[in-house]
Amino acid sequence: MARPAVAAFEHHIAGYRRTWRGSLATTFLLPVLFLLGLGWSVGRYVDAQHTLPVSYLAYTAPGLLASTAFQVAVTEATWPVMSGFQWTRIYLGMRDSPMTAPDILAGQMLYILARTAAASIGFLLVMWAFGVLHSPWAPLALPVVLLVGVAGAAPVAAFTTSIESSRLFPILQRFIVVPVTLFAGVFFPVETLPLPARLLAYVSPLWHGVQLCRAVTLGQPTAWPPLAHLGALELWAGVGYLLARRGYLRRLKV
Amino acid sequence: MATVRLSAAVMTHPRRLDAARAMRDRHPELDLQVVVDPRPEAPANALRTARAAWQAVGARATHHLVVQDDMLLVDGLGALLEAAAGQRPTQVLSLFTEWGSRTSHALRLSALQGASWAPALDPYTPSAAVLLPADVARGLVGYAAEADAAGHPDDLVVLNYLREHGLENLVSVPNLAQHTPADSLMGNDILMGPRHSAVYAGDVPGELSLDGPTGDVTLVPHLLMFEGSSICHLRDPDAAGGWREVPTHEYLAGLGITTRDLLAWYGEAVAEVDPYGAIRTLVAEPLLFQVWLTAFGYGVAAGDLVPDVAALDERLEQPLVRHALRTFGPGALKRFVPRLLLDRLPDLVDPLFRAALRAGFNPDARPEGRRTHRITGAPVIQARGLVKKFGSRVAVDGIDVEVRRGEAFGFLGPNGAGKSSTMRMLGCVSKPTNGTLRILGLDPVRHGSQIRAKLGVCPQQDTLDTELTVTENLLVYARYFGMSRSAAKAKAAQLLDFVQLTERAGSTVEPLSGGMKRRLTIARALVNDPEIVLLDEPTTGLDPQARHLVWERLFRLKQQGVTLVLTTHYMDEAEQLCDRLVVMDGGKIVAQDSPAELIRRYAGREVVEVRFGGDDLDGYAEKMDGIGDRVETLPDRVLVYAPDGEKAAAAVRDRRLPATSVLVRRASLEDVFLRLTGRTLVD
Repeated sequence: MARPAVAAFEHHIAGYRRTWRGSLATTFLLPVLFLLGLGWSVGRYVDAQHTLPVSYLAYTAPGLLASTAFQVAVTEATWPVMSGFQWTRIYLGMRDSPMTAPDILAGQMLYILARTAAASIGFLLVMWAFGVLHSPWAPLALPVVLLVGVAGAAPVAAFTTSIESSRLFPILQRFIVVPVTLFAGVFFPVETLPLPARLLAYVSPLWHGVQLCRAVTLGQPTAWPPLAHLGALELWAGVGYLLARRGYLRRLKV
Repeated sequence: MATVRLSAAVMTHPRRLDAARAMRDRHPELDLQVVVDPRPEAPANALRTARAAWQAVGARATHHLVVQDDMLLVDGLGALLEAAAGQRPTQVLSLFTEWGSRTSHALRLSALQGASWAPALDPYTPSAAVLLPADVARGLVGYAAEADAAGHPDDLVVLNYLREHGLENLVSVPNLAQHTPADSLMGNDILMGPRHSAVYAGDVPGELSLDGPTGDVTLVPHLLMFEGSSICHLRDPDAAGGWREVPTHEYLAGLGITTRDLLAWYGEAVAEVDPYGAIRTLVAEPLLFQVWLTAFGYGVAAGDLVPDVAALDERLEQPLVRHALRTFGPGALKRFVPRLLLDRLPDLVDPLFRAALRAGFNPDARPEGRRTHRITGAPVIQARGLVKKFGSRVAVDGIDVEVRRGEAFGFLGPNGAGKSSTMRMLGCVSKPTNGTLRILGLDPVRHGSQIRAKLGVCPQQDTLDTELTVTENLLVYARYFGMSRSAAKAKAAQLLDFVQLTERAGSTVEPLSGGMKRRLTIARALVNDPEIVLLDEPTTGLDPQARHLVWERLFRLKQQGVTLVLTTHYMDEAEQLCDRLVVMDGGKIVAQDSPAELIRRYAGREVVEVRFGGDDLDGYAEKMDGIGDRVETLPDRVLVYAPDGEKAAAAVRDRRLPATSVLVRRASLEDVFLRLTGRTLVD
């Protein structure tokens, strides 16, 4: 990574240092609540049906991990990115230095990945405590969710560069992020859905991430070949990143 | 020696009769006649009592002394005056000049020369205590009556009479009279500050004698009381009053001493003499530089009056010279420094004054000063036919600009003139639509990043991270430029000290005042030791005190030889900071030069501002036709441009227009802009 991007990343981290204590609590509290509230409580009902090869808690945990990473990354690509252009305008300060627009984007993405990683590591530790990491490959879940993060954050960052008002962010949350999370195989296998709904799941990056996470934490086979899931995520990440780069260049050149 | 017979009169008002009588009793040898204001109930008029006092000239007298009732006179004045009048029978001999007057500088230089009389060169005749040849006193009586009837200003009557009759006015060195110290809260004049003597004989130990020659000064520097800038008076028989005025730096430029040199020498001197900033907390740095410059001018002038450095050092220690030099600081700065702190000025300013005087006495003796930064002539910014369009709107319309290294270059113009668009192109964050642009010899489109690494940018709107602390803002910014953490830390501490924010180092930016944020932005712009600093409207939105603080810091940068490029719509900012500037309007450059030259070329010397009660300003303007060089009508006032403002103002008064105020001021960049565009800069 180019040095200027690292400088931009350091700037974001300097800001994060002022608030990290608050976010650390949520990093651990949220997974515990998710695993208890969904995995354990709903699991008591689901497990009685004996429809899944593993406990419902073990089944949903990797899905919740991936969706948490996805949501953290997407949120970090909305308000903070808009702020850099419009409110704190720190991007404009960066622009006056040797930094280029792609450097500024790279710095922001590094920071988004750092936030995603922090949340995911916390989640994995909680999963370990709940005893739902069945496979020695479990640590590979981290690079997987980081890829999920880029696949979610990059296109959303591109979207953010294309709008002038933050009023669209709640709409993005309600009509994109929430449905994607609900229909990405986090809570139930999408194979039970009719084909059109299943197609939506196949398109979303999160479903691919959930498949890979489940595979590495439980040692289960994936729905598609692993490389196909990786390819889908990389496609989202790559195209999204190119669009974000174009958006940053456009916004930072007058 | 001619026979001298003195008569004398003290001017007074019935209320102050006791003071006048006390003076008469204290100096029986003068046989003072007490002359009382003939119409004490009428509005004050200096001329009324003076006319009565001149009229009181003795029938057989050869000379007539006229003094105000609040003067202190030296003992044995009668004998001194008889001797003086015997030696200089036809001259008008003033016994007092005020410590901040133009004449006071002639007096100090004459004291340095060892002379007993100095030429008076104020635009009035110092007449608080004055010895007139008897025929002059008599002549003035009738002359003043006519002038009074014609409505001429009373303070110019004596001067005009002397000029018309080719009479010489000298001031005694030291002064033989002094105002009675009256320590009111305001001093004895609210606007001008207290008016003490430049050097009063009663304060100087040792024998008093006036047997010396008249000073040969041909160069008299002066700190203008309102503008706070330094000028030099040069003897010129063709000029009105026999003296011509030139800004000191221009005069010195003619001697091959550049402003760069001066700034460098000043910087060294002030660092040496005032290491802890004691003077600079009392006197703003740009003003202090002008003080130093004036003192430097003293040194240059002394070069003609004193044979060598050894003699200079010896003379500087004489009691008369010492006392005379110590009044320079308070006299020059009394309008700028609070009354109660004036007493500190002699001790504070004197060392700087002496250092400057010595430096000016022999500038070549300071070659080490010449090695410091100066405008090397290498262009760091070159623009040819530069155009910036936003859609169909043309923001910058084909401008040519060249900025040289070490220069302070300004873009002056109203909002929307294209300054900020130009600035963004110079900052390599906006691509020119047309034309060529080279910054540090590179093309900003292809080498933007490389160029920006050597620029310092202070944008119009702050882009600080308000959630970070003051120091953190500098640290993260230093990292943008690839500095190591330890270098960044050292640099941040140094810059916070420079912009006087060390005390707020740990505070978040959010609660800082606008001025502090601006200073932090300036510090941030300096973090990479830039070759060019770009400042877009550096003081817009700041209160006057904060602006001055920012100016001071920028002035210091300029002094260090940093190339400054700034935009502003404040003419005072442009005048203070810029060596050279372009005036922009509607995306085009309408003029380009040094502020002084622009003013000289487009506005002339002085402006008379005339205000009226009514609305028909055009009608009044027509009636002022023929006065001065040009008459300009603004919505609220009429401006008359003239080489001699006082004369033009008198001409305006002569036309008996119903003006509510007539004000004479120096021409400024505001006038330049008005002349070039027909509009005012700030509306």
